[in-house]
Amino acid sequence: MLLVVFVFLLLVLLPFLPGLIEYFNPKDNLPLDINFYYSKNPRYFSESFKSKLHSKIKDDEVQKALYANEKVEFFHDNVRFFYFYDIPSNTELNEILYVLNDLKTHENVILNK
Amino acid sequence: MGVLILRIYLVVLTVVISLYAIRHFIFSFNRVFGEQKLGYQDVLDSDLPTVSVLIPMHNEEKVAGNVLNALLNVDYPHEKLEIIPIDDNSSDGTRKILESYAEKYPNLIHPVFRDSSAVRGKPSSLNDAIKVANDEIIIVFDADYIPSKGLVRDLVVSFLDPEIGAVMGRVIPLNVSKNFLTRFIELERSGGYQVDQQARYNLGLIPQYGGTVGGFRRELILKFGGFDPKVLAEDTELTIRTYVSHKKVAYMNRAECYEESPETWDARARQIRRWSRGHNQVMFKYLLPLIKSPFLSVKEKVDGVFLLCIYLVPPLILFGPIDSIILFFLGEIQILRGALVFLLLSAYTTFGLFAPFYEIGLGAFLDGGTYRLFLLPFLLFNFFFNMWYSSLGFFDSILDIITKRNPTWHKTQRFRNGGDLDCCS
Repeated sequence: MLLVVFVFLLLVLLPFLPGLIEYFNPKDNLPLDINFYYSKNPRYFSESFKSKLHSKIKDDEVQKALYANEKVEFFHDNVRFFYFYDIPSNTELNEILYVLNDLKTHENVILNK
Repeated sequence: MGVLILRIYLVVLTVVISLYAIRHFIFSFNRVFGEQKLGYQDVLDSDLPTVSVLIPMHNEEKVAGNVLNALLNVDYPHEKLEIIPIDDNSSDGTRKILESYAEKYPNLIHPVFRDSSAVRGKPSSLNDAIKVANDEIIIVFDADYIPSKGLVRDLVVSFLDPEIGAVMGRVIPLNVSKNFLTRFIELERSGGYQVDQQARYNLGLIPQYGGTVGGFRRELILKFGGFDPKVLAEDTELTIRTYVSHKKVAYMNRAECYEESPETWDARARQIRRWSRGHNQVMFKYLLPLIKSPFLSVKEKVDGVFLLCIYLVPPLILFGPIDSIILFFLGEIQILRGALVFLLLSAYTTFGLFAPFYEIGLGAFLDGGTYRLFLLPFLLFNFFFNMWYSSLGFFDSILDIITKRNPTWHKTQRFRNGGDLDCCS
């Protein structure tokens, strides 16, 4: 009879054991993280991409293009790199374009890449 | 006749609890496998409405500076923002703090000071502030909350949808590690927001405006004639009135804000009792208008009834064991017969009774909780605690109706010393 009572109590109390261990030796008791400085930024993607380029491509011309205000052109393996770019009308381009700021196109512009 | 009443009571109780259990399971299932409805926070629009942020305060010198600093730091265009802290007849240094901020930021902070002649309480404070607020949207924060930089924008952008009358963000307890109670509250909050509120929003039901980290259209509350000062749950009242007025409540799970949980069982008991009392006041007042309203769909009405009656369940459960003990000693407990009943009863005992715990467990899991899930079995004790004080709140609301007395507003005790969180000084 005593054994039955013991087994019963053991089974009742067993589910509380991991909780007691967690309470007295806490491993997961920090508040959920909130980023206080998170702010919706429409330019998030462009800025993130820019910083990736900055860290990955060490070419001087690219570094200059990333942070310079003047128009910088960079030609390499059919890649054209601009700070701003205004494509005139009736143009067909077969290069890959990276434009860091505004890209403006006019009528009848074809970008093949 | 007496036995028949006792038997009917037991059957009704079982049916009611089973319905709530099914509801909890539907919400949990939806949150894991259902289509998730995104909030409006990803909408980019520079044409944002003007906003008044209201912060009711009564003896809040420990926390007033924190919330004002945080609000000064938000990224909402300052020319469209107005901060209105409301000093509700404080006897500590709150008034001085508000005056110094108003002096420093005269274009942004416009405090409202209420003296001892005014009716105390959050609804009356909000009513006074809404009268002086000039903006289209009202956002409310309690004084112990710390809004992050993008929070006001994330909440307000929902109002670009003309269908939205009120919006609710998510509250996250900050002082989790203090004791057993704060850890329980954190788990309950996870289940309540991460699963319950989001699932209700996903399913097109009634997510609840919670009175803080949320907001509403000023014209809407003016149309209602302000908040009823006699109702202690002005948040539930606004939720139901919004739906009855053909508008909806949006829930923004990503619009998160820290809150301070009560750290003593006494403070928690008073908080639950007040919630229950206020919620039941709203239930008595709006159950019929909700059912009769032509602006709600059938599923919204069903969920609205569940929502309004949620604090009716604890007193029902409280009398359940007494009822079954009497029936047992009268030899009348055998209400239904057969193996199927036994099977259903076993299934109900295994799953139904624990449905809220599944919801809480899922919420903690979605929040990335690991070892905190081990505390779930202890929620059983918390369940009895909540049941007792919710029942007392229910009886308070009955007495309110019988005696026509005016309930007194008791603010939840603050525990922070003002320096625990250095987010935005």
